[in-house]
Amino acid sequence: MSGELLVSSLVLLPVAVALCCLALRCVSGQKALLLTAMAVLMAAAVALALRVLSEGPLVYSPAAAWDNVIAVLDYLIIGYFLYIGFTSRNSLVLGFGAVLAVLLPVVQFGVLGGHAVAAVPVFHVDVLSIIMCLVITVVGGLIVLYATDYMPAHEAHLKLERTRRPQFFFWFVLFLGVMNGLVFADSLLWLFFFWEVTTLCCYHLIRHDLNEEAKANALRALWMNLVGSVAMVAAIGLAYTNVGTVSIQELISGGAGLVLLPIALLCLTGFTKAAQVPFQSWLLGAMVAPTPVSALLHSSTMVKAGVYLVLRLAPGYADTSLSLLVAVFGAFVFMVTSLLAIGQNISKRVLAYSTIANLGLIICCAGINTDLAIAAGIALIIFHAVSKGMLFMAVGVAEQQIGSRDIEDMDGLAARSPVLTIAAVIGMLSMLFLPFGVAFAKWAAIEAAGAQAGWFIAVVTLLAIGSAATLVFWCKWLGRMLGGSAPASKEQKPFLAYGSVLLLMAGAVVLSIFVAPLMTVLIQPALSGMGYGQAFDLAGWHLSTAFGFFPPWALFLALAVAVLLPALAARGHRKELDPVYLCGANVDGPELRFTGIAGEPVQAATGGAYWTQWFGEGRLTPISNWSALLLLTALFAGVILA
Amino acid sequence: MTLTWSLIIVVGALLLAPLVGGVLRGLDRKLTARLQGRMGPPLAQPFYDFGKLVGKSHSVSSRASVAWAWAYFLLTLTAFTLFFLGQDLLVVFFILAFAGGALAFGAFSTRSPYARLGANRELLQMLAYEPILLLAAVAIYFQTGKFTVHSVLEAGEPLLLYLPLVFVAVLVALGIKMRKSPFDIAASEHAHQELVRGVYTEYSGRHLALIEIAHWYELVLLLAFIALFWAQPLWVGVLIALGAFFLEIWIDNIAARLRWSWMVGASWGVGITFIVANLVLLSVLA
Repeated sequence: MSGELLVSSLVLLPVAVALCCLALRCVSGQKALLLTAMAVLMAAAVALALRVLSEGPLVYSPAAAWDNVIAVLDYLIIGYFLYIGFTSRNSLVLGFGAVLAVLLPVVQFGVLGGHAVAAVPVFHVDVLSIIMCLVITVVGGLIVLYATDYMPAHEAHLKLERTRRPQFFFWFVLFLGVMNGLVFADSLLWLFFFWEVTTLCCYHLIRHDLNEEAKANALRALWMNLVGSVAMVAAIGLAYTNVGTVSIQELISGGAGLVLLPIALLCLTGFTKAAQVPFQSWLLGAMVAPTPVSALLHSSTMVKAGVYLVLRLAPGYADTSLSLLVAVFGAFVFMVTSLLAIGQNISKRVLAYSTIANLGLIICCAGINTDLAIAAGIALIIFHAVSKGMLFMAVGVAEQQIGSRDIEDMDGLAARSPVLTIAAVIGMLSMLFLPFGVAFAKWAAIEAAGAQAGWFIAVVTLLAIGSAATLVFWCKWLGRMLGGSAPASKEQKPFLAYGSVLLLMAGAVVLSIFVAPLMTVLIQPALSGMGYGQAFDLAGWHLSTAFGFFPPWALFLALAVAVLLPALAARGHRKELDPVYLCGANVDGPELRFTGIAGEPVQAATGGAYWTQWFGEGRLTPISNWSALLLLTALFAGVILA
Repeated sequence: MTLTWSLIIVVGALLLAPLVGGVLRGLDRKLTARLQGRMGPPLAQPFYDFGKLVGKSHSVSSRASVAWAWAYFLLTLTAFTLFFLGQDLLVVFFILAFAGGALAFGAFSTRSPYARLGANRELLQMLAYEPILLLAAVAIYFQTGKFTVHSVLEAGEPLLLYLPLVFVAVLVALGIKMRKSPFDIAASEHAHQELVRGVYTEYSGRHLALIEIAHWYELVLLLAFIALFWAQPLWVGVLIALGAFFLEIWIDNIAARLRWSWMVGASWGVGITFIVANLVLLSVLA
């Protein structure tokens, strides 16, 4: 199949499937359709990957008429946003929508003059796009399959009279196609169109359950993303006036100076989409949506578009003060959101803060802007998508099993749902410790920042503190699930839901072990495509740089002996368990009680520790928001004054 | 250095470390006793205790906690091996953090309120010392151009001359890692306090012995890291490490256990500030 056809089908096939979903009501029909569609989509992504890896970047423009189609659709979408703002009486949506409605025609007809656009290729598919596309279709595809199991149970729980799954799967599957378009796009105008559609999909998915909280949070997500859209339209106008192009590739190779302001504006757009502080509240609010939505938004779509854009533009601002400020901003967000996560007891909120932290780390890597840092950033996109997608799905299943998303209620989940807990524990370990991929990226980021020296001392300090904070919030949640009493009921294991969770878990482990071949096959080619050098010497499948050394498979062998072997040995341990020490005679029985004063049985219980007087949102959020605003101001002041 | 030599060093270190660690613990107890006006146990007491623990019948309140105790021991051994192979310091510290996590998970796996309280505090200790260790590795990069232990041994001049403030910060981390006052918040030395024995409460017999020997390895690893600050010649570094060890024991005996918030504040306030100041000075003066 030709590359052009593959590109078109990766964008249009999800759109067609999404339309079919609108007409399909029965569960088995949805499963059959989506299973087939996702398999085809993954195959297409792999085929395109092979094509680009063997023959180099694919540049492709569909027929010129399509330019007009998306221009019209742009205005329809903005009109729809204004309509939403008007009917929901939300002045922020209305305000930013109105700015957009004025600014877009000014840029499109005033600055660009309509005709100049045709000279720019619409799609430029290089290895970075391919990596994103694989993440979107494989991780996103598995989440779609998970949703086919999750949503019927979700609706049964809500006792809906009439199913809303057709609408749900429409927006859900559409999202995948639009994301593919977004990472393929080279023309900023096309990028803007796909960007708007992701905002639209996200809005509808967040408000899916139609309760008051969902509607309010969807509106918040909408206006915050519109801020980014306004910045993007301004960037398009400036890029054309300053350097006469709307092509991303030309923009980042266009030389320093004049391109920096449009690039900084595009970075701001990326920050809003990636929910960086001070825009974090839209992603935190998005967790009211059904869990598959959170899994999708956090791992493979939406927020990843934000970091993708910042990373894509990185060669355009290498060796500038903008690069340093992007690194400081990203590292700062990584630190504060990791600290904020310590104070949270709602599982999805902890995951959300961890997502924002990891996106901050990716942005920081883009800002450090060396071969090693960019490699770390790309690796983190992959590893974070796999682990985080899996963790959200696991939490979703747990929520349906125990009826709560509070970490306190997950006490002893290990005894109730052992398979799910083992998957979640491995998922969390993979987010946290070496030799797993996410920690590997963190290791590479710290070494890259340290190696930059100078002002990057600030970056490395923020990263070190944030790294310690991630230890605390993951470990205490992980620990909370471990200790437990006898199971009350048997673990229900819906096939597609558990299958997706376990597949991604296996993916997280296997990709981490084989990080060296992953570097050779995908990440290093992506680096050379972006104009960077090779980050690692991969002899013996060890990853060595000029100043550091990481032996992944050797460490996994050690890990197998150190953790897996004792765990298997402990399973065989059949000795009778003794009661725990309670500082008083234990009362017999499954409950944790001891004999207190006057022979009365006293219940023993331990709550989790959240230390909210130190790490609570009330204390940290205002400081974080203001500091982040200050950093953003510094970022733009630096660009304008330089 | 040839492969044979590095293997000999690692195997030698792995065999000697429990001996050295045990003797150091014996010295610790002797010295502490003398500071408190007691005779103290014989120097070999830690080994007698170890033998006694191994021989005792053990009680297990959770299967998972046994597995995590082994994980703690074996991961510490992994970090130890990497260090003596002259590997990347950041990798060593990340693996050591995994070991610390395993110790906390072992305590979380039981239903014991005391163990869980201790586990949460163990995590706070990691919050306090982890940034210092990571930044210390970065500081070593500033001086040697590499993150590896190997590069320090090959460097021309002792690190301490250029990284004095980093050294002070590492001493703070050592105090927390050695679980000494004022930083002994995750487990109290004596069982008759509010924490009972914190993270160790539910361990007995050979599992407690396993944790004890892991502590010995950890102690030798940390002192070896401190010795790196004067590796030209290395015996000066060893003396400095021993000096640091006795300094911690002395502080342990004159200080009381303090609140965790004080601990994090002090270690970040002093440790991180000192390291950053040192790095900035190096950058400005270079």
